[in-house]
Amino acid sequence: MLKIKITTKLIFWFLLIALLPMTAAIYVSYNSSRRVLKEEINKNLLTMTDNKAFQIEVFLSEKKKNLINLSRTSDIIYAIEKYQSAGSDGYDFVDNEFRPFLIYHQKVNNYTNLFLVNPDGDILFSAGENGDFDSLYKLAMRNKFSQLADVFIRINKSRETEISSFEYDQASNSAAVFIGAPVFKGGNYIGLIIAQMDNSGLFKFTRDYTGLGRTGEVVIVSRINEEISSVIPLRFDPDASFKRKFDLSSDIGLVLDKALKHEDGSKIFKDYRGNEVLGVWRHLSTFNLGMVVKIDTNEVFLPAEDLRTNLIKISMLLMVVVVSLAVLTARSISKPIKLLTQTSRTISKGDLKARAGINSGDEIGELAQTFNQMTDNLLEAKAKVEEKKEELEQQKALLEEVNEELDRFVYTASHDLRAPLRGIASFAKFLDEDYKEKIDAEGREFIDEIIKGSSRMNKLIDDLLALSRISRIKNPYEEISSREIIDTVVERIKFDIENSNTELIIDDNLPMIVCDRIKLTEVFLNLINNAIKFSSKNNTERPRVEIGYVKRPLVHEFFVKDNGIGIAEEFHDKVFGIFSRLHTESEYEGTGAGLCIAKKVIDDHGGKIWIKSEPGKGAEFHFSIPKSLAKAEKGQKLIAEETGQF
Amino acid sequence: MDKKILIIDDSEQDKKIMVRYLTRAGFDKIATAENGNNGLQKFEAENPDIVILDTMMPDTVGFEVCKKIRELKGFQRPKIVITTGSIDAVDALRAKESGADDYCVKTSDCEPLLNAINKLF
Repeated sequence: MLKIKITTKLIFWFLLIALLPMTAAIYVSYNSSRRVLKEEINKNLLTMTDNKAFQIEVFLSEKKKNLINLSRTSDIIYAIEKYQSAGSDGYDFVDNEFRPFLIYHQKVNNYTNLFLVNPDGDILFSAGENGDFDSLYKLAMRNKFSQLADVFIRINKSRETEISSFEYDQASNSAAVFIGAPVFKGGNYIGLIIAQMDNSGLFKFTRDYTGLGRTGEVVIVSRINEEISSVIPLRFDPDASFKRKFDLSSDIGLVLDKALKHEDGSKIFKDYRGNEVLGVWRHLSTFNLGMVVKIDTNEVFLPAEDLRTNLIKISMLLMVVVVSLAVLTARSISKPIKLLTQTSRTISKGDLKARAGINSGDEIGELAQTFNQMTDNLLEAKAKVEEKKEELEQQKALLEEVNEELDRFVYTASHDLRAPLRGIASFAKFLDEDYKEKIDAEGREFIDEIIKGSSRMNKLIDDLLALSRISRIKNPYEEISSREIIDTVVERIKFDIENSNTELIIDDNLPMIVCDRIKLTEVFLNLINNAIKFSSKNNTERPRVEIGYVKRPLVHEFFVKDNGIGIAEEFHDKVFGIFSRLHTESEYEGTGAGLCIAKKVIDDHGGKIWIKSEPGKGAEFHFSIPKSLAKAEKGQKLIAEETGQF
Repeated sequence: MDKKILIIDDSEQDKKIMVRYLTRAGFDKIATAENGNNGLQKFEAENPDIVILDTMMPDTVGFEVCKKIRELKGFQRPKIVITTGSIDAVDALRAKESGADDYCVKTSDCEPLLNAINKLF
């Protein structure tokens, strides 16, 4: 399972909860504001475009009106007449007379040039240094795009005021557009007055960037020589006038083309600078121009960008706040928990006095309280256990003392019992030796019984003594080959084995064991002796004694098996009692204490001893020794330490 | 045998038995004492060749008497046998440390004692 800290989890979730709506808000608000901005700016641009168009129309109307008025003045009519009838030598005279006031009108109306033309197309007067006093028909033939010629032809035909499109005047390196009006005298068409204007009038309106911000621009174009060309200087290209051409392969070119085709509309496109712009386009019927009012989308959407940036900044701040909050919250939870954990650790290391010092009123506080309570309880319980243990120790010490005293008593008793017995046996024998002749057969029999009795008593005392010695003397445990022990025993009783013709079978795989060697030798001695004794009473087959080993996980299990007469189950426990006897003295020699001693030794080793037997089927004596005996047991006392205490 | 024996033992019964068997074995010079002090006095008086010491006596332990005898100067060094009613391997060690030449158990036929004495000479 992944190990994630509370702090991390909380930070993650807090951030998620805080940032998700924030992100959604930023996204929505950004898109929304962009949309609104686009609509707004669009509207503004439309308004502006319309305004500008209107202004241009008005401007042109003014100019038109002025020219028409001028065309109707008697001065102009007179001038045309005079120039017409002047001929080549009278020309200068007429010119001198009329030029000043014509120039005056030119200047006052801000015309680049002013022409008086006769219906044949001959230029009667030109205010500027035109140099070309040719017929306008010739001009038209020479240059089919000549707007001057064009406007002349149109006026000639329509006999009404006409306006040309823009053209580029090479001579003056500027834009030129012509307004012309027919001149009538008394209902007769006598000629035309044509005024030439540049684009400064137009430029006046497009130069005003009010409402266009930093990147807004008005582009006005005319189709000249089949190319779409700018007729005014642009904000971002002051030399654009008749120099910048807009190709149909470009976005803006397409847009301007539409405008020139009398279409209008708005969209976002790429302009000639490569910038993305929002633009509105329309046709200017005056002068037959196309107009686009555009503004960089960067500028348009700047407020949205700003909003987003600000919101993002706020989010960052929020993140910091949220993370701090999360950390704080997590701390407030994890700190007491850590404290609790640490306290547990301290306690488990052994310091039972440690308590968790958490006093908050919440669930963790409760947990801490309960924990402390539990530890208190544990301490109490432990104290009780210690008490009990001490009691037990005391009892154990007492028991040991009692056992020791008992052992000492048994030893002393048997020792002291022997002395008088010794006396009885000895003196009975002396009696027999010294007074043999003086005592009759019966008397001698009595003496015999006395001797036999004391001998039996001696044997009993020997057994008792042996038993008490086993209890008193504790030898250190050593690791020894069980085979060695058995071999030693066999050596000791080989006389009996030979005499009884006992077949002895010993297991090949006898292990190394840890035990009290001397005492375990006693055990094997007793068991094997017993086995031989009882096997040899079997009259049907050769006495056979088998010594074997059973492998067990936690103990060493040995057995001594005989083919004797067997032991009934009801006696299986009794045989291990002191002085127990299943058969009369006359049948078998007493083995009373042997099994009792064996059991005591095995018990002291922490093992078990038991019998598997049925009458008539021999007997198997099993005993087990734990494998995990320490080499030197504490509480072992060597009687040598005690001075003369028997 | 002309070896002089001193028996230091508080049991009348045991002394009687030992005297009988020792006499039968040929020892005719046998003295007795019934406790440690008297034993030492008798030793100084008789200067026996063999001393038979009982382990438990009213005033002292046989091992102590044995040590004391060994400390006595100016006497011929006797053979000392320590007897007891019950044999104990650890006591054999103690007997040796006290300076005894042997250690045996008291039986009704005194055989271990006689064997021990025979081994000494």
